[in-house]
Amino acid sequence: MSMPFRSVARSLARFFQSSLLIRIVSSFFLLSTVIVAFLTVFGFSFLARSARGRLIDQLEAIAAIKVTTLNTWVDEQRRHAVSFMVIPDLRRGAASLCSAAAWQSAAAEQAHARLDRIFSLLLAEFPEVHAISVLSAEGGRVVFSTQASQEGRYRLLDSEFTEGMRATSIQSVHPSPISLEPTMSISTPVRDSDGRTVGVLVVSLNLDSMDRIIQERTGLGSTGEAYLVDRYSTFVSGSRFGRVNYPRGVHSAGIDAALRGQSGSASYVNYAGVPVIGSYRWIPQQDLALLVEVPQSDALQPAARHALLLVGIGLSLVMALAFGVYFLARRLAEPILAIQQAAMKVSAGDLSATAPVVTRDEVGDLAEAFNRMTSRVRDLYQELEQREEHFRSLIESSMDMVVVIGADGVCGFASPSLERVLGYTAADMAARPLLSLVHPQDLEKCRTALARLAAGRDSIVTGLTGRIQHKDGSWHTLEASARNLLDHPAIRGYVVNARDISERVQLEDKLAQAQKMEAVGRLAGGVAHDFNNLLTVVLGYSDELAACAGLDEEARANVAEIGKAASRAADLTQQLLAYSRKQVLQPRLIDLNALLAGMTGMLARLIGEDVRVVMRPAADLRPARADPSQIVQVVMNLAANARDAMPRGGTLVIETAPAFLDEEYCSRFPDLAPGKYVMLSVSDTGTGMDEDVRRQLFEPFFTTKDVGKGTGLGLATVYGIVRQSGGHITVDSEVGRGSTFRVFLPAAGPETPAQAAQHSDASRARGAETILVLEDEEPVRRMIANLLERSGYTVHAAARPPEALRKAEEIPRVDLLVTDVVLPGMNGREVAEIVRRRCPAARVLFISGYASGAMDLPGDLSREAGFLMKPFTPAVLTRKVREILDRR
Amino acid sequence: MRSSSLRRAARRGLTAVVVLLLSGCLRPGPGPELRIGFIVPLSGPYGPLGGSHVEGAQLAVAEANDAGGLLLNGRRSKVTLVVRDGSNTPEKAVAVAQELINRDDVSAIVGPILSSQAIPVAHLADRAGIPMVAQIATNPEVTKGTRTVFRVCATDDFQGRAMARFAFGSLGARRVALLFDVASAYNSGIARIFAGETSSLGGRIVAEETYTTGAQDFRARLERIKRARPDVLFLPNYPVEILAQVSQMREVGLDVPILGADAMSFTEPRYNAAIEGAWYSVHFSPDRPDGRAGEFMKRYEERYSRAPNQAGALSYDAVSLLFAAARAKGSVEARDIADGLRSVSVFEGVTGSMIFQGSPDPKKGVVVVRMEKGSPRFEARVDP
Repeated sequence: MSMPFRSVARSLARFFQSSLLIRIVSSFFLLSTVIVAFLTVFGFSFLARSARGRLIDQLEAIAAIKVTTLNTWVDEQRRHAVSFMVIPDLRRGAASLCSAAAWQSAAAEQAHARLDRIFSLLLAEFPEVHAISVLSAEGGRVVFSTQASQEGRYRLLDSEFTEGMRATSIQSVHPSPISLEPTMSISTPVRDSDGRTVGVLVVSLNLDSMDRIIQERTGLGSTGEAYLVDRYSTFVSGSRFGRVNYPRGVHSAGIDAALRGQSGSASYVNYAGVPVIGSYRWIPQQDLALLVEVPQSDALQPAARHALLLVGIGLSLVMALAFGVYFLARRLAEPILAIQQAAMKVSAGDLSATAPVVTRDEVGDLAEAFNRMTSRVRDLYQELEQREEHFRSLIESSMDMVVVIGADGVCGFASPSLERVLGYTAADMAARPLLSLVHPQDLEKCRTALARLAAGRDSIVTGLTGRIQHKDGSWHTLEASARNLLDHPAIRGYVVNARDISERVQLEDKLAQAQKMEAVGRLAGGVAHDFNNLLTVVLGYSDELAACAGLDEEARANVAEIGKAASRAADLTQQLLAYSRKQVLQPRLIDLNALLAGMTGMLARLIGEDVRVVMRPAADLRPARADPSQIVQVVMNLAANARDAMPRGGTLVIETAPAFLDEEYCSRFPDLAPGKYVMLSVSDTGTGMDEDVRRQLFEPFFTTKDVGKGTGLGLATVYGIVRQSGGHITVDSEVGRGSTFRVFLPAAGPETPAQAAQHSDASRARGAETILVLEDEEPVRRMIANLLERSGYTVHAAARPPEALRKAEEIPRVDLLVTDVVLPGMNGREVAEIVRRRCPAARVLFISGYASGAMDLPGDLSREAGFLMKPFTPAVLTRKVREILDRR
Repeated sequence: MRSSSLRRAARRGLTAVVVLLLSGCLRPGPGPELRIGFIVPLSGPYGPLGGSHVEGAQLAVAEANDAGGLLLNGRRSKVTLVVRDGSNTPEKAVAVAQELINRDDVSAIVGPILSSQAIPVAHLADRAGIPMVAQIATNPEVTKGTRTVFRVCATDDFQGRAMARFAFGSLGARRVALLFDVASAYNSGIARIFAGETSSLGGRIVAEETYTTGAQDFRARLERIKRARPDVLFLPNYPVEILAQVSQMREVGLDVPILGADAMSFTEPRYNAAIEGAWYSVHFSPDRPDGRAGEFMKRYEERYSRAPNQAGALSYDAVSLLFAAARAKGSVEARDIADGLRSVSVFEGVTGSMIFQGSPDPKKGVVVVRMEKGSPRFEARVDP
């Protein structure tokens, strides 16, 4: 099959498959056409077979008749020839001509003329006769012939002569050596009056005339023919067929069979190449073959006509039915086509398309089912979209980054969070190996993890941390988990979930730092506690010693030095405790100006020489309510902060001023009450801070300093202390111009702070009350007991709480319980409560090396209890005791 | 389409298929068969003449087939000789020829040997377009007016005149007598030519006695000849008649030198004594062979264990001429062979050179021999 034909066939096939309607109609059309064709072929072959049978019968009959007719005709001619010899003139003339010694003689010429006359008449009478000759017995010389050219020839070897000399005979059809044409002749002896054979009369028959008998058609139709062929395959009638057309004779299956002596009927191709149905006969009497033939086309014409009619009717019916089928199919197909239209729309994306339900049959069910299906698909689609949107927004809004890396290491998908965290857009990530962003030190780790994933040894890798370069060049620490989903059809890659843990890492670092500081502080606090006990003893006894009479001037001075050194040591422990915030807030009225004045030395040590410190105390400043030691810390912290902001030197201004915060201002801050405040400001001329730093300034662990330089707790502590004190803190700052912190502390009435009296009265207070001392440290207990006894009090000392409680039972009354806060088994407060139940009038003075979180002093501490921080001088203790006992 | 053409086309198609199949074996397949019809008397009075003709023709065919076939256009065509008995009657010869042409599907015909037969057969062959080569039918009428008929012998025209000149010149015969079959084309034809030439040379025909075929008693005619006192008697008749005539000559006491034509060559040497001393013309003289003839004689003797005669040599040449024509056109088709025959200008046969030059009758000499002691002796060569 050629290519174009094939392509045409393909497109035809496509066309027929394209439409249901066309397929139904064309299928029907094809089927019915095939049936019609089959019927036609069957009908035609049936008709043709019967027509052929009839025709062969007919041909056989005709052939039989022809043979008879031919034999009769030849017989008749023979009788004619014999009868010629009966004509007396003829017989005599012929005999004399044959006997003539010389044929040029007068007698011969006379006889010749006579014969000529007679034979001319005969020829006219008998058209079947072609020529008549007289052959002399001597040499077969033609002495007379109606064909003058033949005269003078010797024909003694010709069968006409040799046979005719013996008797009347028929020379069946043979090629004449003279004319070369098939010839048939009848020869009969010519006898003279004596009865001797003197010659032969040869009557040549007109074979055209014979052929005409054969040719006469009886029921052969217009194209049928009958003809004779001699044994050499030559047409008997040359005039009818034209000899020159058949130089080698005529041949066909029929002729060949007849020449083999057979007779019969068959279908074959005749001498002219025409398919015929023919009957053939060998006629032995005449040495001739008779052929009677009808062209198959003619023979089968009626059958063909009937078949054509059949085809015509069949095709008309097919056409009519095709139209019917077309309309029927259209009616049936229309609802289906409507569904098809709807389906096309749906497949094109229009999910709102519906198929009309026009019938209540299967097609209607189909349409309904289709609509239900479409609606379900629509719902599913919407649901899917929502879910997709849901998950997409989850991924997009997640701080976690989701990245899909192909097997080639290139990022195929990156969630939007990637850009937020690392600055890269999805386009930046595409075609960029993710590993190229990894910090060289972390690269090996990442590669190993990916290799393990790729090798399938791990299906998931978690907790992988590493540094990734931000688009701006900075490094971010990420924690990632990765999963091998190369085989997942929808992913085909490694899915990496990562989050930026840079801040957390920093926080953790800071926490570790803070914990370290905490530990240092705890250590310091522990040391300070024991130190305070020791210092209390040192201070107590050096004071005692100084008070002793009998010391020379030099010894007294030495003792004073011991006292000073102990005091300085006490300051240091105090600062250590402040640093570690192990002190108890003891708010009281303080004169800020006085406080600041007292700090000058400390500040100078803290700040160093590059920074100039300017104090601007305000006149007429009200006292503030706060814990002075805390405020000292506040100032110290702010000053340290200011110093750090001025690495190349500058001016630190510490100022105090009265302030009033109105309601409008206070409403902006929770827990801030309007009223009078005392303002303490610390200003520097340093680098200043930007908005970001300012916002985070007071957050714990926030620091702009290098690791190890700051705890990040300084300003947080300031804030906490200020807030705890009911105060308020603000900060003004400008980058490059310095910062100003303002601390607002609640102002008290214009009363004189107690502190002034403390410092102004150095003498010991005395009394006669009964005091129970509970202190587990032996030296401290002894020192306190001695001191108080010397000051006039009745002292009972106990080392353990049970002992103290027993003594409290035993002694008639307890006016004051002096107890250490931290005790073995039971703390000072519990002991105080039990004692107070026994003696409700008893007052309590708590003493402690430091105040831990457990040491929450009761609310009425200020009236019935007091607190004294170790170490203390004997004077402070006696005064404190007196002060508590004197409260009424 | 005619059935014979169909058959030939079918044969050609079949051959083509065979050729295609064999070409797979890388060897040119056999060519189409060359069928040659051969008409000679095998029965009747001239029956004995046929054998030598068949032998000569079959030698040529065998030579071709022994070589694998006739080489035509690079392919070997097998040659088949279809031998048919033409007996002695024209009727029989024509019928046989018709059968060869129509039924046996031959491409060419060789024969018949009798001019009386050859004349109608020649016309039949010519009408059918079949080439025909007459090996020894010498009558001029044989080729006259035809396009496909040729011969390998001198005509009666030539040999008649040659014998007349020999009689007049070499034998000095001035009074000439003739006895011949007037009903036979050969006899009467050559007799008339001989007589005419003798007259034109200045000789005198003192007796011209005729008879018709089959006559047995010639004594009356011989008596008349005796009375005419001729120098020579020309007997252009067939051997059977000659034997009777010579015998009756002795009976009537007619003792005169006998002249004959090519028909005087007897097939059986035992009859040679009867014509002792007679001069006659032959187309082939075995005692003066040239190279080709000698070669032929050797092969002939090898095959048939006897020396070839004129009949065998002429039939050999006739078949060979057809081969030459077929080779010239590279075809076995009748029309091509006829064309080939027309294109042959000179043909070297075992019986001598033949110069056609567009004529169907070759310019070819004859040899005059004298029967001496039972065998023909070369007397003279007469070239055209």
